[in-house]
Amino acid sequence: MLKIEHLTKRYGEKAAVDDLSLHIQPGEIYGFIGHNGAGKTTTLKAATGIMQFDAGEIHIDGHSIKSEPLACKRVLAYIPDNPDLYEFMTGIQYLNFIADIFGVDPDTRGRRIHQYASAFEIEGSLAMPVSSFSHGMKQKLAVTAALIHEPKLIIMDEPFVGLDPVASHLLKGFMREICDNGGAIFFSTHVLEVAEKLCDKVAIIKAGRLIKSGTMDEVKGDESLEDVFLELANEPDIVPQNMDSTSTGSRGGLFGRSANNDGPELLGQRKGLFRR
Amino acid sequence: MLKTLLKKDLQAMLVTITTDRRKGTRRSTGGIIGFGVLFALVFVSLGFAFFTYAALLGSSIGAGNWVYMSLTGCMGLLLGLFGSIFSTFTTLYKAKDNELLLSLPIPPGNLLLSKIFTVYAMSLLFCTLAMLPGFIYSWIEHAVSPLGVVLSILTIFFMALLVTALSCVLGWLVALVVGLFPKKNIVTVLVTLLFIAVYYLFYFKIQQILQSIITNIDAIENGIRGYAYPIYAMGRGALGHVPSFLAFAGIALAVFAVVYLVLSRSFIRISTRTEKQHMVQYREKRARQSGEGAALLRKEFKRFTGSAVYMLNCGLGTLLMPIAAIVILVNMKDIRNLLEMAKANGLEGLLAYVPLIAAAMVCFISTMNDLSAPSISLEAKNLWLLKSLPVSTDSIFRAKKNLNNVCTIIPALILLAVAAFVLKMNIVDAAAAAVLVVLFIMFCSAAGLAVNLKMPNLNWTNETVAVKQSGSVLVVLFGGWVVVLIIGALYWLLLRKVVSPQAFLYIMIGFFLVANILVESWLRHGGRKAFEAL
Repeated sequence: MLKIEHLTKRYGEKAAVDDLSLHIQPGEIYGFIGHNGAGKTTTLKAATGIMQFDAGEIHIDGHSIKSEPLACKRVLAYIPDNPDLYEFMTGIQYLNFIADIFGVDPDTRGRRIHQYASAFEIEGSLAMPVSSFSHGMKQKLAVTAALIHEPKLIIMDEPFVGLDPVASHLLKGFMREICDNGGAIFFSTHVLEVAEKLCDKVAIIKAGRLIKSGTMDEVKGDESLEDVFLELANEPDIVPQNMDSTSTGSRGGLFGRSANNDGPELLGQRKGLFRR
Repeated sequence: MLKTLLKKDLQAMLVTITTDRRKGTRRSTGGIIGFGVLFALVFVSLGFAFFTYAALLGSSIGAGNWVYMSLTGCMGLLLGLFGSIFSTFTTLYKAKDNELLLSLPIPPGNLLLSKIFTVYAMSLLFCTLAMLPGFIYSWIEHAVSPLGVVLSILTIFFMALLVTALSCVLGWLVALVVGLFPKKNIVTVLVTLLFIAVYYLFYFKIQQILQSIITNIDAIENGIRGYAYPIYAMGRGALGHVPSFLAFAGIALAVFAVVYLVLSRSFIRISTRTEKQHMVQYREKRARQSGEGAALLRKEFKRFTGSAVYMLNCGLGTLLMPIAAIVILVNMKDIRNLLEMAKANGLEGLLAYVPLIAAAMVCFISTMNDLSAPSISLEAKNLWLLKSLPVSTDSIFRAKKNLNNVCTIIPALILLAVAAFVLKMNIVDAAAAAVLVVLFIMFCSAAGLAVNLKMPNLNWTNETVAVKQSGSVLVVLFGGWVVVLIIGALYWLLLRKVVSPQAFLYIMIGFFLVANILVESWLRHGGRKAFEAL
């Protein structure tokens, strides 16, 4: 469904994503984890066709995002980390706008709007301007809009941020249902427990490079995903050569050097804060 | 702290000039100079119009007396108020960075002062535009001491301070009145139109007003002296009378200080006030399906009608053109009499220019609409939506151009049809003029979009910046006027004797046809790339 091959995106000299390859099959929920600035959002935006990239290729449902962007976008839905929607529209006007763009007929859109908006408990507010919605309501509206055309692939950036526990639970249910029906989901998250429970496969990215990917069992084995992530994030040999090993934000904060200077050590580990 | 805030505001004001937003890099020195030259050109052109008014006034009542200086100051006061009153409230209280700034340990007074600085900068610009040409005329016509020159220039700064204080108060009052109505955007537009109507009434009655001033000069002198002392002091101060200047400066400072103190006490309360939201319960009903093009165009219309600032700054032509048509109809008898007089006085040859002049006038007025010029900038944080949806860049561009086309071509053709009727144009000439007007408007729509793609501003903190103070709007608004004026001047000065007006009309149709093809071609290639790179 989604095939990312050797994706590279640079901002000037800095590679935000470096030679990243990922394959996502129909029916899979694919989690994408990494620390802040690792390149998750850049990868998601490149896959959605809203950001140009320097090298590599991305195929969605057999179409190239570079040469056939519209064919790709017709089968996907994107939910960004911050739901900046059209505030000059009402909720229902926004949903109808999206449905018109995807050519969803009135009966089908009516049914789906009712299904998702009532589940997320925003149906009564759909006549209100989006500008009056709270962050969580906007997120729910963005999710409803994303599901309105039954996309084959949903790309989501931190989809659970801002959602209340009930809505999060519902969204997880919808995600599983979509994949059970042959769709695929690629989403980034910092909530490792959610990723561990929900994802069929997971990829860990660090400093723009994919450092581990595969099925949940392949990636984490008998450990928790959190432990694996922290260990991988702590590995010195996977730091790309072009990064200054003494000046990264991560090292200055969560990661520090061990007392005998034999490699970076997680400060939290030293203090016993993170080990369960 | 205040210095830091002022620096931030200054950066926000200068960033369009100094930075290429598309590439995120600093513009070349040549680019900055070019921008500066363009701005200066626009400023000088508008200043020339005020110089003409000043000359008219000065030749009637003399330019070396305090009444002339006071009236020039009043012009600055009115233009300053007119230019900033409707954006003041948004600038002060509705800036997008208000939440961030309010969460920081910044004294509200400092925050307000930094916001007022932006209003002051705008007021100063308008006051300079209206007052400096008048003062220059006075300096040319009458011997003025160096002290007089210095004090008159300083008067502009203090007048801008007075304008700022009054704008803050009036802007707050307008927001209060508008807030009482559910359709705030429409009410704002209507209130503004009322102001504009008063302005144009003043503009059209300028001769009568001047005549009235000359006739009643003594009464006006006594009136200003007795009831509007600040204006009297301003007039005398601008002539070099130090005590009067100090009095005016003191009054301006005092008014500003009082307004500032009052507003600083209520700044947090007004900034953090949540507007009343009338709860509307959604009732499920069957939607009507639209095609992609209609959906995108409807979205552009909603963006337009959802913002009073956008409507007022980029779409006033839509209302003013039908109003102009009504004015022409009302004055039909006089206009036709004028044509008859021309015929009677052997000026029949001039009548051949009527279709060309009518087309040029409609084109000129139509440039008041520049809806496509800020349309990319207005996407700002919503840009991800258009880019992630399965719509081609061409479709997005078409919707943005069509918003301007629909809002401009229809009223422009109404105006042209009325002009053609009143001026008794033959059907062929009228049709040719209509084709020219349509092509010109289509060119402006496409060019506006192209300029915005070259000069986008997606990081504005206040919508006013995108629709009023952005480089693309400035270029398109004044660029349209300049194009019409240059073509008109070229024809009148160089080609009139060799090309008939009818032939020139057809040449212009060809010219704008080619211009449309060229700009559309750029949009399809360079424009598409520029959009995708945003």
